[in-house]
Amino acid sequence: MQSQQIISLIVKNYPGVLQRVTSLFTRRGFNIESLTVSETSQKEYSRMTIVINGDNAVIEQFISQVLKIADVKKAVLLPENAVKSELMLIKVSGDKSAIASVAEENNLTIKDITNNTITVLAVGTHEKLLKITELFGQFEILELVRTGLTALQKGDNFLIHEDI
Amino acid sequence: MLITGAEIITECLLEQGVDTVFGYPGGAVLNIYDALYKYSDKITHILTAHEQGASHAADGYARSTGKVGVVIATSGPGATNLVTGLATAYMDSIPMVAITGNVTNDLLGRDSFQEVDITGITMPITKHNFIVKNIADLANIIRRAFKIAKSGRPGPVLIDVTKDVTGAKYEYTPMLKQEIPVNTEICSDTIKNIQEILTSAKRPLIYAGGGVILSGADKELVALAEKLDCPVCCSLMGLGGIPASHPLFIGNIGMHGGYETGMATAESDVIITIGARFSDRVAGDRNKFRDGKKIVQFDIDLAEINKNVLIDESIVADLKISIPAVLNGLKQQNHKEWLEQIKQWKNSVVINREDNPEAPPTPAHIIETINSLTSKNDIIVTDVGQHQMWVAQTYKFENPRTFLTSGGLGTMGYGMGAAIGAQTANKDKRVVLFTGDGSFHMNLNELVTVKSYNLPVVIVVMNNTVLGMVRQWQKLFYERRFSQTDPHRATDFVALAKAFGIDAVSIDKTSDVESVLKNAFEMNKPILVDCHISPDANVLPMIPPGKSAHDIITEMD
Repeated sequence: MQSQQIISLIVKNYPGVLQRVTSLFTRRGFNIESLTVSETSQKEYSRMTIVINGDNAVIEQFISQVLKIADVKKAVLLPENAVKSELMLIKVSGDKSAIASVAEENNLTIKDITNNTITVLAVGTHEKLLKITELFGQFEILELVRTGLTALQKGDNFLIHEDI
Repeated sequence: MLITGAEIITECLLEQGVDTVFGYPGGAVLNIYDALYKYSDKITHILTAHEQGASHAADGYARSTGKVGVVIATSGPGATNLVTGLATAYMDSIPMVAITGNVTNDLLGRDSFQEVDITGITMPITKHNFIVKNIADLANIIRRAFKIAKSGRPGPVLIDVTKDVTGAKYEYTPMLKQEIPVNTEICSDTIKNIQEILTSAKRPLIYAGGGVILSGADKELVALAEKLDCPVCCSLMGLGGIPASHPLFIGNIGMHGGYETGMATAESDVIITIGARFSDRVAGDRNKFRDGKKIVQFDIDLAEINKNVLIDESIVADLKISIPAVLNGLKQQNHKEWLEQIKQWKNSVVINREDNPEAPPTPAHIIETINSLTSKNDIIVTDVGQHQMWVAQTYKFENPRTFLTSGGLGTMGYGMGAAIGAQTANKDKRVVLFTGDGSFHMNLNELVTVKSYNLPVVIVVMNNTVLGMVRQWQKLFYERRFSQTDPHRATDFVALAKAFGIDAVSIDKTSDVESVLKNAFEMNKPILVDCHISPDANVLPMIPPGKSAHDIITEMD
């Protein structure tokens, strides 16, 4: 079944590792929705969160291909109930008090106000951010940026421990 | 021991048991070449005409011995000239280590003279690559590179070293070469499932590939085939994995396999894939390939399972471990009727061949004659095109590592370098290069290397004056519009070889074949044989791309 899945990678933290992973997408034609990367609590490793479109066979093939990269230490398909979040900054212009009240009603943080614009920070699931984008659609959206999804497994499951 | 980075490189090569390297000097590797000068009693350096030739030589060295091939090139163009050689090795999973020099750290990223981002360029065609900017990392990176090249599914690894690193001094601590641990754990349920599929098969077929040769599992393959009483066909890379004379060997699988192997593939109920990867040249239409059958796959690379064709049951491990694990407790099978059926298919199609004494010789006649002049340990190298397929169809390969050919990438120009590498590593064996006039024109500059090192390679040019394989496709699929495949070149290969200081003879008609070749082989020195064959000799049979054995072509003009 075609769907969106989240895969977490633990990779060695050094320049070039991102290129190794991303070149796989173009070379083997994987359809990637988003990718985030940052250092972990262990400095020598980074963690990538990849949202990928595809059926089970595609996901399985992606994981086995990505594990062949020498600097990829782990690749795990996250379960559906993983804790997921994404961050969005949206800059709008229009009726300022109306914009502010939309922000307030949805528990969003206003990060910047000028004469003509308001920049709002939103955090949440992909669906939530889509809904918020839609809400601000009644004003003029000047700029919008999203970080892409990050996610962790729930509970006692960890990706980083000594056995890497 | 305080030594230079360049000396650390040579010391680490010695740690790994390297005694031969191929390469070409240049500005960014001056320090390395200075160290090679100092270590010349321990490491032999073979200088080629061009870095591409050196990369194919390292590849041929690796394929013929199973050891890691090493190539050295300078920065910039030296490094980019390795690209085709690395891609060739990568596609066929050949263990190689390429060492390139780069400009000094402070010049990196400034478009300095002969600077190129070779790690960026070779990322998709190496198993892994490194840039060494700090001498403290150098020794361990070289050790790791060899380990990566050899472990699991082998492949080429590139190490780019900046010139200041090779020039600086650092404390070197020798380290013994480490054995690579092999995973011996195989799930017993998997073994049971596979055994069940194998013993319930009525029309099984083993499809063996290059993995058999890479892992040295040829004996295990034969044992499995005999226990299952199962016919075996090989991909191009698998030839030699089972003796051609073995009664269960039925030939090549795929586009230029025989009618019987095509039919056996189509009609089998279980295909047992061993160290092979369902390339389009084998599978045809990969979505139809598995129709009506079960597929079992033995491979060391998890990513090969379900990549091109869906697999019913697989075992991911070194074949030397996995085949015996499945063989253990397996009952002797009997497939007399099925083997009989395959024999009937074989006899039902005859490819016409006329050996007219006064006419140009047929490729098969030349190859069969050479087959009779060589022993089963001798090494056959090819370039790419029609001659390559003729050799694969005709020559009887009895041993692994005796057939060196660019299977995955299909690199025209591969052969000259590979033959040099193979002959360097196998002084006691005969090395024969089959090439075509098209392929030979690509890297004939390496004749200079053959002569310089007096390598007794027999170079057989299947000279049909056309770019035959492409021309054959133009006949079949482009209504004989011979676009750029009939170049009317005037090269006199005999005179050319002589200009390089290499003896040369030619064959114009069938009646010359035996005597000329016999004399050529008796000379025991570098020699070129220019064989004038018909431009309309075709590679048959042929299954058109994306089709099956039912669409096989057995005749064409």
